[in-house]
Formats: sequence, C-alpha cells, structure tokens
Amino acid sequence: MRKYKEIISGGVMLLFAAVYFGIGMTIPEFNDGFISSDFMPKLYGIILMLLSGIQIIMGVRALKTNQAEDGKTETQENTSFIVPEVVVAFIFLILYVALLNVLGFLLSTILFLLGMVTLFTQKGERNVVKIVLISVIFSVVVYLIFAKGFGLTLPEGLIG
Amino acid sequence: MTSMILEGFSSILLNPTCLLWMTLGTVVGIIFGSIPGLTATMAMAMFIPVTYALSAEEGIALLLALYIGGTSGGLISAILLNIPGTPASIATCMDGRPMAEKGQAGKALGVGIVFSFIGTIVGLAALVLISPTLSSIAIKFGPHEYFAITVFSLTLIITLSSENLVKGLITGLLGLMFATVGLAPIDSTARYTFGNVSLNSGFNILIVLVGIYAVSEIIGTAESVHSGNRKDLSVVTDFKVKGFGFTMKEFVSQIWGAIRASAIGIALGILPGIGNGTSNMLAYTVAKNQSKHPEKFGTGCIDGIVASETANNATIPGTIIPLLTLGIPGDSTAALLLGALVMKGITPGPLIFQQNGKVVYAIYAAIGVSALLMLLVEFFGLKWFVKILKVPTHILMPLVFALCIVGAFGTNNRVFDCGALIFFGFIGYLLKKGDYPLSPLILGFVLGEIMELNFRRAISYSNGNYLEFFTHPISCVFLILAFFSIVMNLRSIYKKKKQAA
Repeated sequence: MRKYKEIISGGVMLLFAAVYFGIGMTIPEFNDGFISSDFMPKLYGIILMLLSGIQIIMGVRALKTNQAEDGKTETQENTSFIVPEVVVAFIFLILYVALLNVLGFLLSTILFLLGMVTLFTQKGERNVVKIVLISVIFSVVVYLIFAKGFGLTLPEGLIG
Repeated sequence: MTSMILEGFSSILLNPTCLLWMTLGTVVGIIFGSIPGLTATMAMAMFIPVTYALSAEEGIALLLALYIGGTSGGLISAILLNIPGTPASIATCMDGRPMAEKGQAGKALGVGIVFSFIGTIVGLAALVLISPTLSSIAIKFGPHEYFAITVFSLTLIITLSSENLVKGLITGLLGLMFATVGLAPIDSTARYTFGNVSLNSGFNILIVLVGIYAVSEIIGTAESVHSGNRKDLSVVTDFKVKGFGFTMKEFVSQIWGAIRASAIGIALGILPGIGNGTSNMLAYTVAKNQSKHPEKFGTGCIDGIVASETANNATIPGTIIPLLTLGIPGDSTAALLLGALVMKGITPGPLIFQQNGKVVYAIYAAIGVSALLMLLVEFFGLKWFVKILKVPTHILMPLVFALCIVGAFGTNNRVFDCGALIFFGFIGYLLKKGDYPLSPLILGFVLGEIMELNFRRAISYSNGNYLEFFTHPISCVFLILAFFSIVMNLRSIYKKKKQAA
C-alpha cells in the first residue's frame, strides 16, 4: 500500500481534476469576446490533470528504481490508512455538528467532549468523574463567556 | 496644527476612560485572535454598538485596540497548538511549532510578541510620515497591477513547497479551485454550488483555514492514541521564561529582517483586498529566500517567526493609510473602522487632515498606545499562555475543537459552516496522509478570487488586449519579478537536488 502511495494519491487528484473540469464544462459561457466565468475553472482543471499526471509518472518511476531494494521499505509501514480511532473521531465530529441544530450548543458540546475525551484517553487512565467534570464545566464556561458575556449567537437547537 | 496634535494626543493619552476601554479591547482582541475561527474583525463588529456611547476618539481607539490585539493574538495558538488563530499567523506555525517541540515555546512566544510590537510601530511610522506618498502609489493600482501582484504572490507557492514541487503546486491549485465555488466575479454565474444556496457566497477563508489545520491536529491526536506514542510537550517545555526569552544578541541579529518584513507588511496593507493573510506568508518566503541558512527555516529558527509576526502587524497601519487618505477600506476590518468614523460624522479622505485633524492624531496615538498595551498584556500573560501546554493533548484538542465550532458558527451564524469545517478537515487529513504541504492551499484560496476578478476586469478594460499587462509599468515589473521568482526558485531546488545526489 505504502509503495503505491504516490500513484494512488496522484490518481485521486487526477479523478478530482477530471470531475472538476467536467462540471466546469457545464458553466454557461457568454460570447462577449472576453473571458467568461468558465475560463478559470477549465484552466485550473487542465493544469491539475497535468500535474497529477506528472505525480503518477514520478511515482511509477520511483517504484521501478526501488524494486531492486524491495523488502527494506516495507518494514517502515507503521500507520495504516484506516485507524479505528480516526474513523470514530470523524464520526464524533460529524455527529457533533449534526446535533448542534437539534440540541443546541451547550448540550451537544457536553456530549461531544464526553465522547472525544473518553476516546482519546488510554483505557487504564479513564477517570469518569474527571471526564464528566471537564466536559460540563468547560462547555458551561464557554457558553457563558461567549453567548452571555460577549453576546455572540450560538446554535440554539430545537429545545433551546 | 500644533494645537490639533496636542488635542488629538491628549484625547487618548490623558483620558483614563479611553485607556481603560483600550485595555479591555486589547485583552478581548488577544482572546479572539488566539481562538481559531474567532478574529479581530468579529470582535470589532461586536463592539461597534459600544462605540455609539463613546466619543469619536474613544470609539476608534477601542476598535484599533481590538484590531491590533486580535492580529497579534493569533501567534499564541499558532505556536502552542500548531493551529493558526487567524489567517495572519499561518507562517508563524512553520517555525513556532518546531520551537515549541524543542521546549522553547516561551522563547517563540516572546519573539512573536516583541516583533508584533515592532511591526506595529514601524507601520505607524510609515502611516505618520509617508502616507500621502504611499496612497498616491496605491491609487495607481488598477486591475492589471492587481493581477500581476497576485501572480507574483502565487509564485511563492514554489518556495513554500521546496520539499516536493509538484505536490506544492497541486495543493496551491486546489486552493484556487476551492476559491471558484460560489457566484463568479463580474457576472455572478453560480459555479460548483450544486444548487445549494448556502454555497453561493463561497467558502469563508476562516472555515478553510481552521478546518485544514485544527481538524488535522485533532485527527493527529486520534492517531497518536492508537499508536500509543503521545507527544507530551509539558515534559520538554521550559516553563521558567525570563523576560521575553531571547537575548539581546538574537534581537540585534533580527533587526534587518524585521525592517524587511515591515516593508512587506505595509506594502500589502495599502493595497486593498490583499492584507495580512498574505503578508505573513510573503514575508516568510522572502526571509527564507534571502537567508544565509534557508535550510534552518521550518526547523524552529526565530527568523521565521520574526518575518511572519512583524509583517502581519505592520499591515494594520498599512491598511489605515488608504482608509484615512482616500477613504478606501482595504478589507472588512477597515470597512468597520470606516463605518465607525462615518457614524461620528467624520468622512475619511484627502480633506480629513483639515476638517478632523484632531481625530487623525488621536488615531496615531491610539495605534501607538494599543501596540504598547498589547506588548504589556502579552508580556504578563506569557507565563500563563505557556501553561496551556501543561494540559495533556488528549484533553486539550477536543476543547480546542469546541472553540473552533464557536468561531465557525460565528462567521455567518449558520451550522452549514460548521459542516464545511469538517469537510475541509477531511480534505486536510487526506492531503496530510499524501504528504502534501498545506500552506499553498491557503495562499491559493486567499488569492484565487482577487486574481480572477482582476484578470477579467483587466481584459475587459483593455478590450481583450493581453499585451496591456506589459505596457502598464507596475504590472510589467511584477510579472517580470514573478518570472525571476520562478527561475531563481527552480534553480535553488535544482542545486539542492544536485548536492543531494
């Protein structure tokens, strides 16, 4: 997997550039003789396709030269792409934002902090009382300072 | 004349209420600047109603204190958390964080604070002494000149991505692409909005910035939890900071760099629309290019912090130059200042010196006092700021993210922006995994719209004649500079490769 990283990431970029360029083709063009709104997107799309092409070619070349000393590079693989904690962290982030409109800032932040700090603390060190205290006190203090003290608007949620 | 100067100065310096408001403004500004997503602009907008109750001089002094404190405050999170608090301190991360990792967080903060102060003061000197000359240059900038200067600034991407040129260019281009989302300049054609009205105004720079930097730090924490090798900075950090943490000798060695960075900051400040999001990166790359030891940049050398922090604060008086002399606000922050002045019956423009001379001198005094207050507040706060590192990362990061949400929501008061924050966080995570540098993306994003707008304007001004980019002298000079910047950078990369091989 790691060996092909350059080729894969270049491929993803190429795909993104192609889609971007494709959507760019649908932007209406005005024939007033000057540059229209579709010009820059198309130009960016083409340049990115070229650059990602170069990255893929460089990746393939590096692969060929490295093949001789294969085996050594494989041991360096320490972080795999999909780490369970990372996936859960992303889910927490998405849930947090999704809950903002429903529960409002205060409650969602307390829940988010409870989940995230628990996830980030090593199993042996988890101290429930401490985590709950940190989450609640921090959320309330932030809410009071920004919503009440500074008068900023924070998500109210359905139950306010 | 003399009486105006005296009246103006005394309305700030001899007015305890005013000094009290300014101290409050500086503290709030620093807090807003240091929290990712909250900015000086937001703090100023919040305090506009307060200025109604104050005199013109007091009101404007409070806003300036917020502006200066907010611009400098960004360095705290950039150094301690590796998350730039505002777009003005992106380049501060590049050397500030490595210094913090070496245990020199206090020193890094001290350097940033002192040179923020120096940048403001040098900018103030330019404002007081040569603002008519500078503003007469600024009005010579038409679309051709703007286009040329953005092209020149974009060539900096090459310097920012010296590790891997192709990847740097790719992320720079991604930044330009994300900038095309929303209604197009000039004809307002909807692009890449997929029919979603929330996307019409495009992405906010703060959302892109905080998403890419803050979320990737949080995910980085998740990875370190998995692998079990947590970085604990509280072990290495020297919490006993003496003074500002650096020696007189180090200070003297940075003077030339600070002057250069101030000049860059002022120059970008007087050009409407560019401002301190770009000036810190420009100053950093120029410092790196001209340095005798460019390889030390990015490993934690104070030169980088000096360049970034001096430039972003020098930009503030720079922005005020066209505001006062021409009545042109360069960015949203300057527009707030303009609004506050107009509300008090003061019209900025060429006549302000005759009609409201007192206010002009009050503004000069307020900038000086704010700079001093910022220096004092941050000096006494320094020991406390460093203590943030005593909070273990696994607790600190979730807390920081909750603050980012406050900021993201605050930009437009909609949850949509919080979602966009996570979207950019995901993009940032993927880019980091693929070893792509992140700062070119921000630079591309900041400059993308200005470049396209002025390119299209220029073409229609000159009736489709592309040669006019070279017949306008300033534009021609910047395009030639851009060309040289590319050639010189490519040469140094080639040389480095040759040395390595």
